[in-house]
Amino acid sequence: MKSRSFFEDSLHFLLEQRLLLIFVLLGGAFIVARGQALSSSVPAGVSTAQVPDSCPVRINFDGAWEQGLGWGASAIIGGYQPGMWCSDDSIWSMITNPNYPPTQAYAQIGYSRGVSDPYTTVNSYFLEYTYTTGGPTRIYLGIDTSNWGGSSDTFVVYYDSSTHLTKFLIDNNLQYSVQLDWSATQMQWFNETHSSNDQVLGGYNHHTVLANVQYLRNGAWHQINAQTDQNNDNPNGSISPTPSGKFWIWDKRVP
Amino acid sequence: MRRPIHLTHIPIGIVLLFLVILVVVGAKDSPPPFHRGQDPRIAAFTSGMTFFSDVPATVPANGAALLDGSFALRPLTSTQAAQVGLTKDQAIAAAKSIGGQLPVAQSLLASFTAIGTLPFPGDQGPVAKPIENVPAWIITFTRTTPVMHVGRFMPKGTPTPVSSPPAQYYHLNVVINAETGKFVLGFDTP
Repeated sequence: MKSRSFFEDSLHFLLEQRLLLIFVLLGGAFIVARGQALSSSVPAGVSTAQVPDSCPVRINFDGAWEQGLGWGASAIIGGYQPGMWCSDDSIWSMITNPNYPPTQAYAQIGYSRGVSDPYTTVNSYFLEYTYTTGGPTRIYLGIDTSNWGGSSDTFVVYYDSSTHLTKFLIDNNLQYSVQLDWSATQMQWFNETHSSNDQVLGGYNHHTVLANVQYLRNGAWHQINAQTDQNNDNPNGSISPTPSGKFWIWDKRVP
Repeated sequence: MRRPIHLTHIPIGIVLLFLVILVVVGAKDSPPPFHRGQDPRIAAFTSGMTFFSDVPATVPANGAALLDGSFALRPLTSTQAAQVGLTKDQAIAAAKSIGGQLPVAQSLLASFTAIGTLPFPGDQGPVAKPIENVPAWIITFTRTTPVMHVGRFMPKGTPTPVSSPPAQYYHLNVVINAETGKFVLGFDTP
């Protein structure tokens, strides 16, 4: 007589005891309950596909970057109000390390516009950071009452080795600090749009200026060369970089 | 020949009870909070609190820690409750300065702390304006279209930027000082 394997024995036992049916039912209940738990943060009746037709999601960046290890990023950003937008729009100084998918590790501070709804327009100061395995956490620090019209602030994010804190400053005033679990390998200064129909900050007669763009390395601040390390991937955006840590950006559609 | 296994002497009720517990616990399980470390401010301030990824409907007696311990909510003390001069409707009106016309999902009165604004032990650098145990209304707005937070980088040696999959956030939470009516800060939650 052919001997039965342990698996066959176990299955036979489960069938005898009707436990297999119970396992299947409980497994199904688990999957349903787990699915409800994971989806509970999405409000009822809300779909992720409610972006207006004119605002297809497309992530674009116009600005400059610095490759290599660094401890901080700083820039004076002078804004000019956008005239159109779809989802959301921001401009910032940032330190980052791309070696931590899926979100990548980053910490940024700057201006933010919009809260992703077609009937709300809010301009604010913001900061945002991630851990290697969590986040992002976005904090709105206050309303920019100038609506980016002529505002000019210095945004700094840097790592303080004495406390292991990443610190966020606006105009030399500490806003917030947090201990992150990564170190930066890249610094960036960009205007970020989430639809091609969002307006890159500025117009062709009123450029947005990023001045004194600097990164912190080996204990000293250095100006970037925006001419060699620039990026312009919004089809409606344009950039005019200089080799002296300064560049201008604007939207080609608006004055 | 291997003999069939007969475990009929194991009370079937105990087995079922064990399985039910597994299902219930497993379904409600969420990823463990990131204690991030080593930040003594978070460890000290959130000790004993329950961690949430969204603002809870009520504040547990032991307090609520939000977003990996970035923020902490505690029930109001009687002293704090006496300081509250803002009604819920007034708080919602104030929160609309940043929430705009988004629908309000909930309003919560609590003692609010932004731990990243607290002094760090031994730090000799500049200090932030501390937001600690502020009697506050936390007004939660729901977006119809989620805001997206995206990481991105420039790969070495190539001119093409790479973006991470956007993280989507449906809730905008606006913290209003319940005594003065002033905006404290806002933050996004899933």
